[in-house]
Amino acid sequence: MRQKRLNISLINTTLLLALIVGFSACKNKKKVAEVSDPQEVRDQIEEELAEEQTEEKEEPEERIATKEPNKSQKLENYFTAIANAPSATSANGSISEALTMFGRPDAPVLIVIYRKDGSTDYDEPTTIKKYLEYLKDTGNNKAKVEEMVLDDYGKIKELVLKK
Amino acid sequence: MKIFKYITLAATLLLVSSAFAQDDIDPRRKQAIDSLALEKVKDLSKYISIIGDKKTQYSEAQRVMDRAEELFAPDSEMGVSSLSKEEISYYKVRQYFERLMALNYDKVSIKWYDIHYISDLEQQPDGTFVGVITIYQRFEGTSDDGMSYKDTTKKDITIYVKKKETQIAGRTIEFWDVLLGDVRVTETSA
Repeated sequence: MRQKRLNISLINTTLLLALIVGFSACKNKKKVAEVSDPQEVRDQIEEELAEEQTEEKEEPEERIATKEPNKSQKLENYFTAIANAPSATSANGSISEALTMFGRPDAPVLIVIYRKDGSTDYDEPTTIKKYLEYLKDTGNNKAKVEEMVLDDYGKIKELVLKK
Repeated sequence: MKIFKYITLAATLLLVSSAFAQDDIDPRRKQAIDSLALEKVKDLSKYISIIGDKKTQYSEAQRVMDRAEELFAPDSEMGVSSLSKEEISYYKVRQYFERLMALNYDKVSIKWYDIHYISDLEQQPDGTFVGVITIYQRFEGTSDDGMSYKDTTKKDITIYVKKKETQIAGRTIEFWDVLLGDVRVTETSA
């Protein structure tokens, strides 16, 4: 009696498995049938690949567009904000923020005044704190960022500007 | 013996050519140096304006005085004139700035304009460039009680520019050191 019940159970399980496999095979067959033409299959694969590639290409552009301005642009934005600040308080706020980009407030700043044939002429070297205060005092914001040397923490440790 | 002669001749030629090279400065490089010196005078005009401004906080004025003083060669003097007296007084620049800050007015406005070279930078035998820049200064001081004083002075500033070296992060950097000398009053008018 027990043996008989076990046999019935085995038969049921087998039938159930057969049904699942059969259903699944039907589905796949249907899919294959839908795109059975090899040319169509190739076209579809190529189309999908092209779509994927376009998505991959667009991704970095999107990131750049949404990302904050790069370091030199960010620093130049601070320069502009300080030089055109409507008040000393406002300028001081921008100076404090700009200084956070530097490893230390006495990070050297070199200002190129002329360059030719590999020879460079500099203004007297200064420090970033003094340079930012200079921008506040004089509003003279002619120099643009030419080179930045970063420390291990990604902070600027040396800045080269060009007039 | 012949080889020794050639070596001596080559060394002499090298020395002579390097001496000429020092004098023969590229016109565009010279222009850059001219502009740099002119810019320093313009910076001074801004500093003087801030120091004289009664709205400038004491600590800020002191900081600006330090920056302004750094523009000058040691012991440089600033001429001060007045419509009420003929003689011109000369003060060391720091003393001049301190007096300017302490002027007994409630509002002070100092503006420099028409800043230009009257004597181009010329290289001296020691390599230093020396020139003279002229400026016009409009001074206006007013008090709440109605007292006011206004004048315009023409001033000549001697400029010294010399190539110097400094060490930055282990590298030797050559730079143009611009220093202002005495500031002489040449005209005073209402």
